[in-house]
Amino acid sequence: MWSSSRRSAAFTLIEIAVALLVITVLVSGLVVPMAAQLEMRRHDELRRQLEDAREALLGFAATHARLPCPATETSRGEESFAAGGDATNGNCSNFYDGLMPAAALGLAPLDPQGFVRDPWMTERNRLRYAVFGGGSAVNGVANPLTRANGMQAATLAGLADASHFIFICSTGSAASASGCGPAANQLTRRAAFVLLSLGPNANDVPAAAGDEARNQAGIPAFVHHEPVAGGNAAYDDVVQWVPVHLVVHRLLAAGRLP
Amino acid sequence: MRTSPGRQRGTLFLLALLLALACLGVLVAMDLAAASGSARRDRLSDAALAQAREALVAYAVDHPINATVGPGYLPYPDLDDDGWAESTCGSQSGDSGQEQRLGRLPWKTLGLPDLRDGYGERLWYAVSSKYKGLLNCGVSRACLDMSPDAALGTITVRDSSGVVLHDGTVAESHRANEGGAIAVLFAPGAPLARADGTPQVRDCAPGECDDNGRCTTQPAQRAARCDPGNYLDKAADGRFSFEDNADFVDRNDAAGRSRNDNGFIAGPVTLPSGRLGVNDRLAVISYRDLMPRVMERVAREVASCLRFYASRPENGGRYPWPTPACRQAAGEWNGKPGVHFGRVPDTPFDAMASQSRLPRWWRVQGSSGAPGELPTAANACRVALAPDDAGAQRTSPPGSPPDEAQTAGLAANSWWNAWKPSVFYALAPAYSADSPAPSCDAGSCIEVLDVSGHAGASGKQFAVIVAGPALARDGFVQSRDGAGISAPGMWLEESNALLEGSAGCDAVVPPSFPCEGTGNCNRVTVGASSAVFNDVVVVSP
Repeated sequence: MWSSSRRSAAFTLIEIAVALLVITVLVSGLVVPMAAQLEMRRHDELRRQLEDAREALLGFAATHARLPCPATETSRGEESFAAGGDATNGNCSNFYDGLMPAAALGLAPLDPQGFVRDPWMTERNRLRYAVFGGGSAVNGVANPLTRANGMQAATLAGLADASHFIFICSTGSAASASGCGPAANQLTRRAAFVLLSLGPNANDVPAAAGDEARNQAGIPAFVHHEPVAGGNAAYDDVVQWVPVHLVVHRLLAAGRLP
Repeated sequence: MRTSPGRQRGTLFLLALLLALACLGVLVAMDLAAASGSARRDRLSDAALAQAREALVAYAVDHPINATVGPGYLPYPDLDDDGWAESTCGSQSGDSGQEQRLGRLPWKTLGLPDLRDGYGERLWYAVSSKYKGLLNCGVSRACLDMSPDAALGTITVRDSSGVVLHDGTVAESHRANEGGAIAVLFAPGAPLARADGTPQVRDCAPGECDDNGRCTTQPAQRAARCDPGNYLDKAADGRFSFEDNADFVDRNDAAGRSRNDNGFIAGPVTLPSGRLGVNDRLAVISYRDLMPRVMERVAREVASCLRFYASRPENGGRYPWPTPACRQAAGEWNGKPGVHFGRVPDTPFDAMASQSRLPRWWRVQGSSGAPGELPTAANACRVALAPDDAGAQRTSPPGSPPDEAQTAGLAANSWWNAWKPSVFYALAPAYSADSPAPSCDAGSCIEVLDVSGHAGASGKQFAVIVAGPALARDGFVQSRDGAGISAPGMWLEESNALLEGSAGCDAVVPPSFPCEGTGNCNRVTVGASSAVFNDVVVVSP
């Protein structure tokens, strides 16, 4: 066939070259939207995961009259209690820097260690979970949310009057275990539990004292704001939370309160 | 064939490539469209609306209450987009401040995340004039009255074809379920042109907002960013053009209720031209969604009061005698010995005191015993006047203040005044004051039936039965005025309406006591709300 016409063979080559050029231009134009679309898909998927996790935790609360303790890297997706801690006293080992106890809640799909990973899928992308407890007692009841019937013992009025639960701050600049700093920085102080995904940059070391570092500092204050790209202020964490009164509402509906 | 075979093959190759590219392009475009398209956005909007709706219901049902103000109220809207509810939204009857009852969802007040619809907009929220919790509610009997017959919704909502789903003009409590909505949530969606052709502009003009995006104009709605007209739509279609989602009327007084026809319409409304006229997605909190849960909250509050009373050492597990319903038409609310069904009695519980039991909800002045056993303001029974102690541990002696543990509302305004005609109380004879040793082995206890009369749990010590709004059944509408207050059948349904005995009624009407002689005076019916049954029952244990 090549010998049949030298002229036409050359023309075919030009055609191929033109075609390749067109393909290159088109594909390079498509790559960016494709990547953006993939990222959007992942965020959608994450939103769904967080919704499932939220419902699973609220369901656990309705059936056990308590919220579960966070898991740790070594607890294989089960709750992790402190030494001497159990469901009766609700004393968790890691209230504010633990992982979603996905195996204990029966979530799927699990990674080999029993955790749920967010759509970026690395080991650092395991869903994280924090629940109010530890230091401050409510109406004289320590760990009121993680102790069996702890919310009943703290009473509805006691829970309503509690000075704070987990703080959610719109900026971390002045956030500490005791609050968000200036009132304008605070989104809420009544979060019962927090769900956290470290987002696409989970494997980067967060800048010291940055908002991402604060979300892993193990304190009852979390930072939530719009993503910020690059530099020391880089922030792509996704933070979800549920207010205490919603947990109370589910327990009331289940007859676990008052 | 004009061209040579080689040349033809090359052309085919190019054509095939272009075809493949076109296919790829179409696939990618379809995928993108599906992912970012309206279906996905609507799903996100609906998820945000559902989360907001649950949080509002939770707020109304579980908000802390005290001896003066009861449950059922919703927060005011956020008018200036700072996330916090405002501190006012119109008068008690709803004849003023109408525009203050439509704003953004106060997500910070509710403790929620910053919820957005599928187009990145915060949710909007309208609250019924009857359900807004006024700051000075305690001074007004009408404001405190959130009982099932009084707290009807007031907001009219139409579906996208114009059919009225919730009719805010309904004033009769037996039609409460078809009546107005209690609150409406909106996902505003993308900007549209409103009926008059003006496009919706949502950005702050210079000087309208501060650095955080809060509208600083007076009133806040004057800023484009906080003007409901820039978010909520009005269709140009002749059929629905009367319904502007950026304004509504909701009055809860007799004179104004007929004007509540001006409500909201759910999107999407498509105009004859094919253009979208209304793209607001709505979520509604109806009377049916909220009132049964508020009734249950009240039942649980009363049950915990009764349990606390029985747990006092002086009472040894015995509950107060009910006040027979037959007495309430005469305005008598005191408990009578030997009565096992009626309403929750007012203090003093003289019939209990005569049997050496506590005459109030807990121990009072002049009695001995450790203060630690007494309640504090935080955990005291909410149908009684609260003690002074605010902390976790009681330190002051019994009787501080002197009227603590009295039934609330005897001397001043209280939510309990409005609710107590609706709250009935059945006591197991085995746990009454004259029982030598409270136990179901020693005497009769409460049995539970389902709505079709099948026996369920038994061995219950008491039941609190809260009557829902009046029903139209058995050929009559339950009428509760005048003598009706004394007829359980005007309030309760099924076996619950038949529990009253003759004890304590003496010669007062009504003379009919249907359960007597059948041995059925301890059978309580529990079931889901329906057109013929709407009692909410809490049994203990």
